Amino acid sequence: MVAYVLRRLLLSVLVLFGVSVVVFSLIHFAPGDPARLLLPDGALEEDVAFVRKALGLDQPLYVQYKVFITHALQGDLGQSLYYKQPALGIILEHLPATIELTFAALVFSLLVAVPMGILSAVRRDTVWDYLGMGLATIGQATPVYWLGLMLILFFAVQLRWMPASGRGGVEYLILPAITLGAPLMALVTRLVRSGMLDLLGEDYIRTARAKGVAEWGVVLRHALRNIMIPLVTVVGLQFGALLGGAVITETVFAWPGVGRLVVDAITARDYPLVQAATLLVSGYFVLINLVLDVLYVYLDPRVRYS
Amino acid sequence: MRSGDLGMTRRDVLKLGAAGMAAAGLGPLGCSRGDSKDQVAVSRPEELQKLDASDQYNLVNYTLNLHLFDTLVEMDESGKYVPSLAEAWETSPDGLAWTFKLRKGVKFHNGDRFTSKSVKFTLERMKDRKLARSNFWTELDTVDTPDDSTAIVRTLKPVGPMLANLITPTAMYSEKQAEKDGPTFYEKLIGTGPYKFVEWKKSEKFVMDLFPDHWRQPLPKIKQITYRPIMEDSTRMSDLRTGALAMADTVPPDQVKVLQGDDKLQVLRVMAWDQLYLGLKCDQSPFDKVEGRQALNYAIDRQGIVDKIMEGGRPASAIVPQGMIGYADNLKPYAYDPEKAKSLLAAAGWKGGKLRFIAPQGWYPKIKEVTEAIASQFKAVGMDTDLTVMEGAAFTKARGAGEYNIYITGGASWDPDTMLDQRVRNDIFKSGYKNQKVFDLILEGRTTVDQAKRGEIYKAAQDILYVEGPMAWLFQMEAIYGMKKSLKGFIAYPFKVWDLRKAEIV
Repeated sequence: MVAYVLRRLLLSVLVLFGVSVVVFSLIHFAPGDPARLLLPDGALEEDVAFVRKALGLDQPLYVQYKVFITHALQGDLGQSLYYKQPALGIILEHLPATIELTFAALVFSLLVAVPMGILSAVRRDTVWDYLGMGLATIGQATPVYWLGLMLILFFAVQLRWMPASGRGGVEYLILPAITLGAPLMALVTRLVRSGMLDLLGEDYIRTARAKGVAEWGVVLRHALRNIMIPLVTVVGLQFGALLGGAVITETVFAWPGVGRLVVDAITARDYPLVQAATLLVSGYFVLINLVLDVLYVYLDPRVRYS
Repeated sequence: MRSGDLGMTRRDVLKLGAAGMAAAGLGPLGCSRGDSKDQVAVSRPEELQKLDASDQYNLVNYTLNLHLFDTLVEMDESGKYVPSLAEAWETSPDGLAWTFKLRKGVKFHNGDRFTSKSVKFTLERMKDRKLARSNFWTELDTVDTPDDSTAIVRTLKPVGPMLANLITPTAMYSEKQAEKDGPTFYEKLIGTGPYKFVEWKKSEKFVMDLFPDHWRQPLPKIKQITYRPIMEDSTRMSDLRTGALAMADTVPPDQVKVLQGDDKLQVLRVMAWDQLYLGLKCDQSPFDKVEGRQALNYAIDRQGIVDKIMEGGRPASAIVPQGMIGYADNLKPYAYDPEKAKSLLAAAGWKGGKLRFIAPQGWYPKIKEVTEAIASQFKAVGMDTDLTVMEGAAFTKARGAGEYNIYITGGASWDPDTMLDQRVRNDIFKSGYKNQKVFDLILEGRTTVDQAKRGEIYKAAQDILYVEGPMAWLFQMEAIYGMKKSLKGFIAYPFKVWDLRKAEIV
């Protein structure tokens, strides 16, 4: 087990290296010149050239990459062109907000989706089922952006129950978490419902019922446990989508997370900040997936890593 | 499927549901209307970046620095230069020396005294070409300090826009603090302004408190200002409507009616010194001929765009906006005359084909609608365009390389020299326009310190540019602010910077 985790961690380094190459190429091939963007709109060409040289942007790409990777291996992810501060520090300042938001969204979606999926399956073709499936369809079909704006207009502007944007106590977290979690909630509801429907027809479920286990015991103890494996797999895969959705959610709710930071950094062609942020967020994603893989062992005793 | 005995499940689910509702029903979770007289929160869709006042040109930094720092002179709402840290100033007859008499007894937030040495440190530091604002100070020679309250700024050539260069961005720093705190001294944001820096949480908020030892009396009424960068227009408007914000900058034109319908809010519209224009590639057909450039001018329905798309603003005629020194009131916006445009286009020898028309995504409100309307007006007179609304960085690159027939951009400034010198005389966007008479006039304006004379020189330059210029001026943009009705004394300058120093919540 320990060996497995270690191997996975080593593999993660390779993944991150790959990410760094891809991101470095993408951002550098995108048209635009950070030196020009750093100066006022209308700066003279000689001033732009001076700044370009001062930032080392006049070097060939492979030289720039070598400099970046050498420093990165020593823990120095470079200096943000716009903030004029170490990129790592700026990201670490923004990362807690993103972790908080993605986890809240995850918790929200599971708390709603798992009971709703079970209920829809157990009460198939009743009003509960239609309600659950209706919500799932809406959740899946609604653009995150639009949902966020509607929640703000309804709960913040009309009802005044919650603040429209910003970060603070729990009340600031609710609307963004619902917005970000909605698509995952929809997906998990459908997954749990269909999985549950399949399982409830299985022989071992019939056996459990035959030996007199109460229905809730059948559902929660015998069936639910078997849903957990596909559930964890899907959550792991969808976590990337969650991080992608965080970019939009953070913008709509003025949430001070990494997603918004990266968008601004891309617009400004703040190369070091984009590179550092992508590396760290990818690292976060890889780590979450590693944790979920380890979780398999506890969920399904048959799974063994060696 | 067996329905089964689900009594327990139902009860469980109901319990769950009840818990959920209780959680959701926690009710108004401490979201007050925030109607404090002492504290206000304000927002514009812009993030603070570098904190060094000498190393950036962002409007949000200017705006916040206006509260944290003082400058030698200031510009009031009408565009007039007024004293601030300098009580008086005069120019030497040759225009090479500006003598500033400094205010006495001014203290920095850390207790340091403001003296002529602070002026010397701040201005001479601007010679460092790595600083984004250094290009405004290329002609600076030295700053002499005969005594603590006299600073003589010496330049290599006479600098016409000297006072303009000294306003908002040129925040006075303490030389003692800089020496003590080293190269990143500016991160502490220690100035002489009426507010002092408290905290900055990136992407979230920037907080400043009243500095009670400020030299200007009476002190501002508002004790604490929180700036929040809210990029999404709709969210910013929502925060204004819930009362979380006292003022929201950059109201989208289509939201004005909504805000006006709220009895707690008011809308302030200010004509900004920011005009949209079309830049033309003057070394390619049809804009290589004066007739071609004029044809384009006659083909645009400026009033129509202002009325129907922008719902505000006013048609523009020349590079210097109304209210700024050098404004040419004799020049009227080109009339909308498609027939004249057609005949001029024929006179220019235009053979048809597609013109490359580029625009920056998201830089200006409704840029897509405006450029599409213009493109269809061009088509109506026989000028086919290939309109591309592109991402800002890509646009900047294409424009800087001259890869266009037409580009659209605005130009915000507070002195005519900025735009004229960069975009016409130095032709940084490679329009290919050449007229030595115009270039000479611009240089003369740049090196004339008598402001009245400067104004006349710029008017003469604009007379020529109006007829044959490389830029077709479209319209002056409005800056639209939404705010609480209880917010009084809010000042919005035409250069899109706002000021809460005289504001209060009543």
